[in-house]
Amino acid sequence: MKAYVFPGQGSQYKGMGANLFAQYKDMVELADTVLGYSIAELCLEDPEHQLGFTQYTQPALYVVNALSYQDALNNKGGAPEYLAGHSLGEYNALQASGAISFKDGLKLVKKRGELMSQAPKGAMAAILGSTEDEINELLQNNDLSTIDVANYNSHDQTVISGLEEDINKAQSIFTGADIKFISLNASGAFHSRYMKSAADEFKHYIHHFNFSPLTIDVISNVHATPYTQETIVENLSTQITCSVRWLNSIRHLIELGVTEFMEIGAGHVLTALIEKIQAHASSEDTVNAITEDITAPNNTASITNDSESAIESITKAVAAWNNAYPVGTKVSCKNHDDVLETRTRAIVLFGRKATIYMQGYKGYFDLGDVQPVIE
Amino acid sequence: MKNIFLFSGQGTQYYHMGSDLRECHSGFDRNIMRLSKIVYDVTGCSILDVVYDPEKQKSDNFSDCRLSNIALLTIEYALSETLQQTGIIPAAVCGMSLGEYTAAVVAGAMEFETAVFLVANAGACFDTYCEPGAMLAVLDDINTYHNNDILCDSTDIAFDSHGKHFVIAGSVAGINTAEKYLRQKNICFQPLPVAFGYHSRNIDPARHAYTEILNNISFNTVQLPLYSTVTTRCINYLDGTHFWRTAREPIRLMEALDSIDHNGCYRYIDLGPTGTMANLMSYRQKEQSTSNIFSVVTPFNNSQMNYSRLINAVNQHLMPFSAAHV
Repeated sequence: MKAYVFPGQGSQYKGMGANLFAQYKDMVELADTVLGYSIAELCLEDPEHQLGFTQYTQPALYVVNALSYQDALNNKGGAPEYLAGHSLGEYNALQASGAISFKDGLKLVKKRGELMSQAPKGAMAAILGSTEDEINELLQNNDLSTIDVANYNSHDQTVISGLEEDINKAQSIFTGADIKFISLNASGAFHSRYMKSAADEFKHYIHHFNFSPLTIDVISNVHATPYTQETIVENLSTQITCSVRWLNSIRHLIELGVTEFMEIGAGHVLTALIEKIQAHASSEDTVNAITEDITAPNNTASITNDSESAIESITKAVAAWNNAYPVGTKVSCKNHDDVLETRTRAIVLFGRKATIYMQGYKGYFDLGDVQPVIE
Repeated sequence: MKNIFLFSGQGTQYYHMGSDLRECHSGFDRNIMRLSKIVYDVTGCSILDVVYDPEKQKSDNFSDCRLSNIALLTIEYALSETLQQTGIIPAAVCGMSLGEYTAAVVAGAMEFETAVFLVANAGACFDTYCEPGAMLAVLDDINTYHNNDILCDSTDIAFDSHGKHFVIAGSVAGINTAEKYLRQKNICFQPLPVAFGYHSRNIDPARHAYTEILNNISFNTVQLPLYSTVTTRCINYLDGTHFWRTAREPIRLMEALDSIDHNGCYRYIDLGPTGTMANLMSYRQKEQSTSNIFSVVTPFNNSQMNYSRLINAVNQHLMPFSAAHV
């Protein structure tokens, strides 16, 4: 069985949807009318550098995802058995299932983006290689219960969300515990308690809309189980403050017998996450398969390495490093016993590789192999 | 005693070079692994698979210049890192021909990946623009060349050891002519494993393309005395032209070494894979002791022994009453 999945914020890039706007003129015109500006110009040229602001990011991704879905229906083998979307992408899943029209979905997304952009300033960060329990324990033990988990993305990727000072504090705690911590370039603390006022206002707004029957099952972010007709309004409102249970959503789809996942829309972030979750699921099945499964996702990861979204996350990792660690930071490097010292800031090489240079060594080090030494 | 690191050039590479040191020295192996990752990022080529190809024998001709250039650079720089991690720090560097790239990296004039980029492109330029060429080491006095019109017309001198041998280079046709003559005269010669006649007119067609690439590179300040076998002097800054000259002009190693000697007493360490430069050094000072000349990696499976000898020598020198050598 096949599932289509739609990406959310973080997957946007300038140039997304390039070959779609001309093909689906009716939808594009409709979008321009609802939004009051040219969606094609925003996505392709972004002359005002707005694409990174959530009130623009959200409608832009929604439209590109929806056009991509139309394109998939026309050209890529028709409708799937299941749908899911990551955060904002859930609106595309609901639209694809027939529960909301393209136009209503866009109106909701526009409002959602506006409300979220007005929320108090916050910060988000990705934590790699730690389990849900480990993360919660660290947060609790360090008086950081003010931080919420925004996304359970995969077995080894969790995103946390909170006030800037709390996230900064968390950074030193996680890196101190030798856990990979990557600050994300988010304007607010999405999917956290700090979105409550946005969620409340959104709840009032969404009551003006009518929803049609779902024709394809949609797995909800909040519950990681299929939507029912009655829970649409409630789910979409609480989703703004609740964690995105992506890991469990994909596991649920795998349990339901989905073997083929297709990411519809901008970028390939979800594909990479799902490949990891699938590999994990199959390694749970047979111990013997473990070695193969570990090598398989690694290979695909290196291929998707070049995708736009991967490049974006590399840029973010570099910026995060440079924010946190000055030149001269003492670090430990994979396969090196000694403590080394950085001699440059982190930089992106070849447009796709996060690197940094060390004193006494010519030739870069992979930023991923480098850990600051906390003295 | 100060250390000078020597780096040899094209023709000194061979399959499985350094494999014995990799087996017994995990630090060297780690450095090789780290650098080959960079090579892979820059060129898309897995240099480990090429150099340590189980299908290949040590004695097989490793002359594909795109790969052999990068392989040589990688091995030499990995060894330099390894020695430096052990505390053997160079006070000066000297490279011949392709070895000038490694020397420049060690001297801080460019990053390793810049050198990889350059030698890969140099190889591509030679492949694209040059006719196949060849090089011969001739075991005779240099006057054999100067006094003979056939040799002068068909080949150029790539290297003069100031002793009992010299190297000529040229197109395949030119070298064939030279070989025929040398056979007639019963003069011994040995072909070098190269695909082009470096340091000769044979590579001139690549000049324009490669200097274009070189001119786009900005080099850092040289941080160690860098003795060039082109200029034969210590050079303070590098530009792109220099690296074209390292490929095209004859290697003036002996003259370069002379200029080093005037400046002080050194421990000479050959970081190339054959010990060629160490050999040339020891011929040169055969009347004196050669206890200050070291090589590490050689094709004879004695890299570990050589390495220990070097470490012992360095440590001994640190001891207050070291025996004053044999």
